[in-house]
Amino acid sequence: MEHAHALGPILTARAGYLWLIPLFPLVGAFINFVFGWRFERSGRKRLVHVVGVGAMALAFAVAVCAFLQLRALPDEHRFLQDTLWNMFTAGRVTVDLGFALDPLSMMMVLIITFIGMLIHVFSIGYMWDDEAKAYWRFFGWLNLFVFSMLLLVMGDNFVLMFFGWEGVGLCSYGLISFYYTDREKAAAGMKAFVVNRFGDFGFLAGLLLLFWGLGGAWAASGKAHGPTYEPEAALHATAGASTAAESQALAPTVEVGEGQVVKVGPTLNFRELRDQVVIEKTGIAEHLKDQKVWGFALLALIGICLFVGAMGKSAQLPLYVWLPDAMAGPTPVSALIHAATMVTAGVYMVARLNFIFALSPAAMAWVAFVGALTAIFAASIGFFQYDIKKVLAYSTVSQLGFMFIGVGVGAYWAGAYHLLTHAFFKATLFLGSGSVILGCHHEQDMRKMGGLKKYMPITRWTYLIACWAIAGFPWASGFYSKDEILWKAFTSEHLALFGVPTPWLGPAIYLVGIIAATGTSFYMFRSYFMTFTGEYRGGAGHAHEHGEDPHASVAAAHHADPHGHHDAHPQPDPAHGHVHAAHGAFPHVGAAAHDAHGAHGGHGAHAGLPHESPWTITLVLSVLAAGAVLVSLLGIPAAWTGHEPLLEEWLKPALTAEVAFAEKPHSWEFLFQAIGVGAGAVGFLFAWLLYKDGKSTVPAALKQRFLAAWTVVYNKYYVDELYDLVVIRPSLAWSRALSWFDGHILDWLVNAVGAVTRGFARIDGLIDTYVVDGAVNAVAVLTAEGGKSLRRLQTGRVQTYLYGALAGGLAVILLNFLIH
Amino acid sequence: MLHVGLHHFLVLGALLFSLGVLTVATRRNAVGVLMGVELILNGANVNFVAFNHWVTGGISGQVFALFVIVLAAAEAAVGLAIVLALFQTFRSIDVRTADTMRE
Repeated sequence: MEHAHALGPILTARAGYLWLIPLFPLVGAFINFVFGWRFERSGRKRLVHVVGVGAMALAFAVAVCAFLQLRALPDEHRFLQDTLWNMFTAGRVTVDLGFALDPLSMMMVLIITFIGMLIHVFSIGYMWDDEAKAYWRFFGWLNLFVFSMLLLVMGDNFVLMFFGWEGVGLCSYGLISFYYTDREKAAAGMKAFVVNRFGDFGFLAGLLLLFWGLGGAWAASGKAHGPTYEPEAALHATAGASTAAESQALAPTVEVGEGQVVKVGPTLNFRELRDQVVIEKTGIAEHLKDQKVWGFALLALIGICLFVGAMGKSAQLPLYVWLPDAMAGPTPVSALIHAATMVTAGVYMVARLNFIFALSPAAMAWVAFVGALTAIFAASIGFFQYDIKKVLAYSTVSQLGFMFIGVGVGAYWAGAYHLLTHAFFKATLFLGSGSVILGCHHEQDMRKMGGLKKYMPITRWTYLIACWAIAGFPWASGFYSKDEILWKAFTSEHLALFGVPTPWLGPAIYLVGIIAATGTSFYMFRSYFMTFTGEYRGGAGHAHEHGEDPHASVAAAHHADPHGHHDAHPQPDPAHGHVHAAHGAFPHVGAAAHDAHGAHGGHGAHAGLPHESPWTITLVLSVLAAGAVLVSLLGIPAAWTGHEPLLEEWLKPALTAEVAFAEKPHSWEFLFQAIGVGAGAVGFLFAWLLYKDGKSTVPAALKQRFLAAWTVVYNKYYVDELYDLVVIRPSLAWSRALSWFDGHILDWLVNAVGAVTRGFARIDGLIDTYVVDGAVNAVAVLTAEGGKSLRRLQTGRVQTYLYGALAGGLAVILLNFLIH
Repeated sequence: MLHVGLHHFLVLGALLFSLGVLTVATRRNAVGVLMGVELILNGANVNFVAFNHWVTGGISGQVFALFVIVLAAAEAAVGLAIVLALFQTFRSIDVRTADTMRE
C-alpha cells in the first residue's frame, strides 16, 4: 500500500455529550413500549407520536451540534470520542461503552437522525388509522431501531457495533412482522431474521479471524526485522490484568515517532485497529499480509467473512432473499430500515474497515464482483414486478450492489456518497409509494393504479424527482454518485479475484453496472408511468368489490373532480392529521351518499377515487425530494469544478486507505458521464414508450413473445424455490432425522436408564421393606412379646414374691456351698 | 446325759424360722401370715439369746431380743391394722384377693 504521506495516529477530541444521541430514541422507545398503550387507550394517542418524533428531533439536534463541533476541528483531528465506562477487560483487551464520531459515522448519524425524523413524521399520517391498532408499538419499535442503528454506527468498538448490528436485525424483524396476525407477514419477519443470522455468522467469523490475526508479540522498536509471532509470549503478557488501566499498561506498544505511541496487538476498538494497521512503522499490516490460514491469505479470508456479514445485512447475492419479503412491513419501515439505513450497514462496515479491505485486493474484488452481480440481477427482477413496493425492494437491492461496487473497487467515498444519495431518493420513493398506497386505499398493485398525477400532485412530483435522481440524470444526486462509482470501477486496476491480478474485472464491472443503470432507469420510470400517468384503473375493481355500495357509483360520477370526493370525507377530525386543501371551495356533492358509507369507518374501507395524502406526508415527501436534489451539491466531480467533491474532502480523514486508480484525462470522465446519462435516457425512453399511458399493447405482446423468459424473471429466477430445495428442504429433512433420532434413540436411552433405575429402586425398596424394616420390627416384636410373657410373673401376690426371695436366698446359699 | 448346748438352740431357732417361713409362704389367711412373721422373728430371737449366752456373753444379745420383741409387737399392730384395711377393701382377709397391683 503506497501512501502519499505518512499517516499518524488519530488525534481525538472529547465530546462528552455524544451519548445523548442514542439515548433519546432509547428513552422514546421505552416510554412508548411501557406507557404507549395507556396513552392510546386513554385517548391521548397523540402523545405516542409526540414522544416518537420528539426523541428523533432531539437526537437530530444533538447530532447537528456534534457535526458543528467536528467541522470546526482541523482535518486530522476530526474524531470525537465519548467514553462512558469500561464494559469489560480481558487480558490486554478492553472494551468500553464508548461512542466515536469521525466524518464517516457523522454522515451516517446525520442520515439516520434526519431521515429517521422525517420518516417518523410521515408515519403519523400513515399509521394513524392503521388496522393493527398498535400505534404505540409501531413508534416504539421505530425508536428502538434508530437507537440500535445509532449504536451500530457510533460505537467505537466491534462489540457495540455488533450489538447495534443485532439490534437493528431484531427491530427489523419486529417491524416486518408488525401485522403478526397475518401468517405470511410474520413468516417474512422470520425469514429476514434467519437469513441475517447466516450473514452474522460470517461477520463474527471475520471479526474473530481479525482478532486472532492481530495476535503476537511485538518488539518496542517496531518493525526492525518484522514482527515475530509468539503466541505464547503474548499469552504470558496477558496474565493478571483486571482493570482497564492495568490492561493498558500491559498492552504492547510501538513508538512511531515524535513521542507518539501506538498500541498494537488484538483489539476490538476501531481507532486502535486503524492506528496499528494504517501506520506502517508498526509492521502490523505486513504481519497480517504474511499470515495464512489453511493456505488462504488471512486478509482475504477476513475480508470475505466480513463481507458475508454485509451480504446478509445489505441484501447481496445470495442472501438478498429476505429484503423483497420484508416489504410485508408498513411502508415507513421499508423506507427507513429497508432502504435508507439498516441495509446500508454492510456498506458502512466495509467503508469503516477500508484499511483492512484495502490490504487484500482479493477481498475487494469479491466485494465489487458480488456487488455488480447483485446490481444487475436485482434490476432485472425489478423489470416485471407489479407490486410497487416489490419494484422498490429490488431496486434497493440493486442500488446496494452499486454501493458495494464503490467500496469494493476502493472508491470508498463514492460508495458512501451513493449511500447518502440513495438514502434520500429511495426514502422519497418508498414514502411516495406509501402515499400512493394510502391514497389508493391499500392497493399495491400498479396494474390497478394509473393516472394518479391528477389526484396526488405532490406525491407525483416528488416521486418523479426521486426517479430522476435514481435513474442518474444530472442535477439530481444519483447521477453524481453512480457515475463516480462506475468511473472508479472502470479505472480500477488492482482487483485480484482468487488472488490473481484481474485488471479486466474493473471494466467488466463497469459494463455490468451501466447495463444495470439502464435497467434501473427503465424499471423506475415504468413504475412511475404505471402509477401516475394514463387512466386510473383502480376504480372498476373497487366498484366491483363494493358493488352494493351506493358511494362507488356516486364517486365515479365525480370522476373529473377529485375534490368533490374529498368533501365527501367525514369531517377531518383534527387528530387525524388529514388536511384537505381547498376544502370548502367545492360544493358538498357527495355528502349524502357518503354518510351512508360512513359506517365503513376510516379511509381504508373507502371505495372510490384516490386522494392526496395528509400534509405530514406531503411535507416529508417534499423535504426528502428537495434533499435528493440538494445532496448532489456534495458530490460534484472534480472534472466539473477542478475542486474535489465536498463529501470526498469531508470523508478523507476517515477513509485513509488509498487505492491506486488508473489516471485518465478528464475528457474520458466526461465521456463516461455522457454514457451514464445515455443509459438513463435509454431506460427512460423504453419505459415511456411502453408504459406512458397504459394503453400500449407492446408490453403484452413482448410478454407473449418471450413468455418463458418472462416467467422465469417474473418468478424472481425461482431463487426462493431454489432456496427451498437446497436449504430449507434438506434442513427440514435433517431436522426430521434428528427429531427421529431424538424421539427414538435418545428417548429410548433415557427411558432405558429410567427403567434400570426404577428396577434398582424397586429392589432397594424391597430390601428396605423386608430387611431393614423387618429387623426394626423384629426388635420391637421381641421386646413386646418378651414383656408380655414376663408380665405373668407380676402376680401381685405377696407370697409369689416371697417364693422368689426364698428361691434367691436358697440359690445364694447353694452357690456359697458350691463355691467352697 | 442330755446336755443342752448351743446347737440345740440353733436347731430350735432354725426350726422356728423355717416354720415361720412356711407359714408366711403358705397361709392364705392374712392373720396367719402375720403369725408366721412372729415365728420368724422369734426364731431370730432364739439365735440372739443363744449366741449371747454361749458365744459373746454380756447382755447385748438379750437387749437385741427385747428390741425384736418390741418391734414384733409394733409390727403386729401395724400388720393387724393393714389386715383390717384389707378386709374393709376386699371384704376378705385372704391374701390372694389383694392382687390388684398385678401387672
